[in-house]
Amino acid sequence: MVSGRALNLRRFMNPSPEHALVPEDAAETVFLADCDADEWNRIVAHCEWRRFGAGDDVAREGEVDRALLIVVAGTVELLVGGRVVNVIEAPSLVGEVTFFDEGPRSGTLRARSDGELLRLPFPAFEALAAEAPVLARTILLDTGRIVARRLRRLTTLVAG
Amino acid sequence: MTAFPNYLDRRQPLPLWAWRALAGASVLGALALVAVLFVDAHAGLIAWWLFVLPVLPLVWLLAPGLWRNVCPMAALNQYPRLLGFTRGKTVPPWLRRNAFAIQVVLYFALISTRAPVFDHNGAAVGVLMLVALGAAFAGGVAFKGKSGWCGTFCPLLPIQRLYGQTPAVPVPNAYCRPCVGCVKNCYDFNPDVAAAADLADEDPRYVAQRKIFAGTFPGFVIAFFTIPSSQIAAPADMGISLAGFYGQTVAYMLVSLGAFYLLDALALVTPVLLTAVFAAVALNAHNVLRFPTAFDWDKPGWLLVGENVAVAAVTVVFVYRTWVKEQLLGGTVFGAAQQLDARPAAGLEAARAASGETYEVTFLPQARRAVARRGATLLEVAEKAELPLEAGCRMGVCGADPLTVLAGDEQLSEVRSEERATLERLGLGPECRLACCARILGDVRVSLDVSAGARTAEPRAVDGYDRSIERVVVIGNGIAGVTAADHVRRAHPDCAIDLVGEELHPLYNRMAISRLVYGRTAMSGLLLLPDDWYERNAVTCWLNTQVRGIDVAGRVVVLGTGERLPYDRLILAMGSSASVPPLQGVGRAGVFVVRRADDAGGVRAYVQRHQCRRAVVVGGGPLGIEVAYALHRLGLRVRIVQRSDRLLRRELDPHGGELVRRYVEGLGIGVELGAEPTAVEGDEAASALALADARRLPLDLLVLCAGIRPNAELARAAGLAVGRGVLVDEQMRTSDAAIFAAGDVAEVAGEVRGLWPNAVAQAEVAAANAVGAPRRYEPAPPVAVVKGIGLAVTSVGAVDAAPGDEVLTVDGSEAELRYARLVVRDGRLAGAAFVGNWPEQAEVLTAVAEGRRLTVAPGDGIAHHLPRFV
Repeated sequence: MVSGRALNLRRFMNPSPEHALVPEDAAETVFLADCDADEWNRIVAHCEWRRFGAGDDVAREGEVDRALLIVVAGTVELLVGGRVVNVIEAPSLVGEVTFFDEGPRSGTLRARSDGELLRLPFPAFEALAAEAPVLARTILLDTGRIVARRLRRLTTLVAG
Repeated sequence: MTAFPNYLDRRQPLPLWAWRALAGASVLGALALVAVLFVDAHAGLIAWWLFVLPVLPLVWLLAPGLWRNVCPMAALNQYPRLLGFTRGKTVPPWLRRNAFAIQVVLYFALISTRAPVFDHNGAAVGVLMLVALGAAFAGGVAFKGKSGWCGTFCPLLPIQRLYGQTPAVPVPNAYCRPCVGCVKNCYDFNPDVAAAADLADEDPRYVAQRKIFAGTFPGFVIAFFTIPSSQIAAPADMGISLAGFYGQTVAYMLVSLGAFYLLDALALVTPVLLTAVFAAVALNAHNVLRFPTAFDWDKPGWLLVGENVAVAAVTVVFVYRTWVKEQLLGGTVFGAAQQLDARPAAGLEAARAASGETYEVTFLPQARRAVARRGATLLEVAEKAELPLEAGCRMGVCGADPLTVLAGDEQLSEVRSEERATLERLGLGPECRLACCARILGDVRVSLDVSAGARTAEPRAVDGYDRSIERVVVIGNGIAGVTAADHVRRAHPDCAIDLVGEELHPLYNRMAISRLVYGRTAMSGLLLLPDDWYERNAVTCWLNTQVRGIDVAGRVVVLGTGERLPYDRLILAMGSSASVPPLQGVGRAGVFVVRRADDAGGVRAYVQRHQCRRAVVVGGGPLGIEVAYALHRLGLRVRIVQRSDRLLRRELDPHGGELVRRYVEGLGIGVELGAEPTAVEGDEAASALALADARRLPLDLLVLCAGIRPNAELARAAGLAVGRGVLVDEQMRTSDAAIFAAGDVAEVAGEVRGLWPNAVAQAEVAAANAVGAPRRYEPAPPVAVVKGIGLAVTSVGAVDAAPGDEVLTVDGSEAELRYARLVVRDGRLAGAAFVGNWPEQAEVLTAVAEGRRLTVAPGDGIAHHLPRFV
């Protein structure tokens, strides 16, 4: 409860030395809110389903791993150069930048709590898309929406 | 956009140049005041204590942003940034942690020193101001943003944050463009929220510092004005000792703090509102108790009363506005917390619930914790996790995927005969498993490192072997050759074994070579035997060595290097080559087959060297599809050209082939069915494939996957009976009694099967018979698997239904891409094909191999029958 409050107030606040950017509003970055159990099952069938513990590095800055990471339980924070730039709560998405541009991971993802994630590597996404194009379109559009939301968050901060 | 816009979202009431001018004037004003303090202390002290200082709290309460934009210390602090000579360092963490405490201590120390020192010493105040201005400037040179003074050291910040937590007039920060994030919960960033965010911080020590200040502050103000003193007297003249003065001050503060924590503990109001109330009490106490007289000058009584009433009214409004604000914040904050519980992830939760029993598989050394559904194989889970575990035949035959079970081996499905035999060949102990065979039935912990499970070959108790056989030569270092050598050694501990292979590599996973096309790890993970395998089994291995001829009469194998290897028994396992269709222009550069590791490596090299963009793959069988997929992953635009009217013609019925075509096209790979290639066109390098229907497919790379051709030339030259392959009987014996053949090179009962499981079975039989332990080969129905394209396709036994056969099919839903088909012949299961993942698959494969009986009532669905095998 306390940390929940803290997170939600912090989104009004400035980037600080510990939190270089204001954490996003978790309600705005829920991934695939409208998918039903069948659709999720189809996605799960193509994903690595991984468990992590609080404090684990779920992904590391600089590593090359073209995969979407769908956080399905727990909270992770995104650190760039050791500073927290975002806090992501399940169910949401991370790793979307690398997924699209094939570059190295721009930050380290560290678990704030125990949790689970689904990792969808690009080839697995392609397989899913070949098998279920409509679902793949939904995934892409929702991923795009989250990317845009996060870009907007950065734009407002930089624009000044 | 939000109820609490930060300074960047707010409109500036003044242009920035106007703010700069005001700040400059303020700096000059401050310096002027300093001058006055030195020159005429009396006038300076009146100006300072009676006019400047009493006004500030009210400004901080009503329009704190105004002060923060024109404060002379802030202005000096910001000049280094504006003029571009700040070092811009980040305040070190320990200082950040203690910044608030530093500010508070400085504040209390300075104010409580008023009576003893500053109230009556103009020079002291002047020096204090100069020190503060200088420190602010120095901080601006060293640290970034406003962290060098305003955010970290300024003793006035705690009281500004307390009084200014709900500004009546928001004046946005005019300095920070852009925000550099120099301090946590920056007051300048969002004054409305900063103090509340402080109190909601997750670090309890951080919160406590703020609460303690707010709690002690009214006590401090009351102490300051009520402890007997005169405003221009030193404590010695006040009738109170210095210790007594500070002791009483601290006592007042503690009483005040006690009241604060009592109210906080009772939780009658929220901490945010409580700090606002304490701020209001402090400000009113300040007004009511302040000294009406100073320096022989009296403020008129009506003015004092008027001021007191006005301040009281302002503070009541302030508390009310804070309450309103908190409702708004609460509506967002605590409302959001409730929304969090009802977040629309119902589908996801339902899917997790519907996953049935799930277990945790821990993979070492990566320490990866995977969640697996019951019945999944370790290989499936490891593959999804993209762990360095290479799949091969997926049937426990090739031994590509061994691992060590560290805990929970009873939670894995039982070891079957093929798996056991392969583990033995690999020299691995009972704690090892093949990932493709081990199904998960509970939590397990496994390691990809099998070195712990490797054991030195125990001397096998072998008797009854033929001691007259002293020398065995095996030609071919593929799976058939190595299996033959292995089984010869098992049955015969002391004969010499020479294994002659044409390729550069020791036994590798030929089924996974398409990975060499797109993967960056080359041969790593593809080698199937431990390094010391040949040595451990006393097998003399000749790699990259060709056989020039076989002297059947003299029983000698002649090597290309001139050596002669005499033999008592010879086992031929030369395998097969890719068959190259007789197309015009097939010899051009850029035309490849993919049969060996080096072929696949060559394709990757060619693509890079010539920056190929378009590829055509001729052949729509398992290899053609795998190679097309590999090229697609390498980033090429790929088309498959298939002569027949469907993909996987030998493995699937038309409907299954159609599903696979849809899938492959969905990946972005083109499929041309019923297309007959006629010629490879181009100058030096291939640039197009001409088709019989007069179309030309442009390309930079052409890969031919048109089946295999047994490497039977040596045998033919040696005078052995050869059809398509080397003809053998059911003991795998050729037309020469001392020579056996196994694998792709052998033709058994008119058939050549290019499949691993068959090669292994044949090699075992050939080895047994070679060393005098008669065994018969019983042909197993062929199993074909399309691997690593993201869609599982498996086919066993009969594909096409003969008249009288019963065919059962079950389709997945339209979008699901799952399909299963059984062929029942004379009441027995004769064939099966699966597209997509079917848990029943392994059992059905066994049932086909054993030709199990299956009674089918007309109209029965397959779904009805599948569970019967499990």
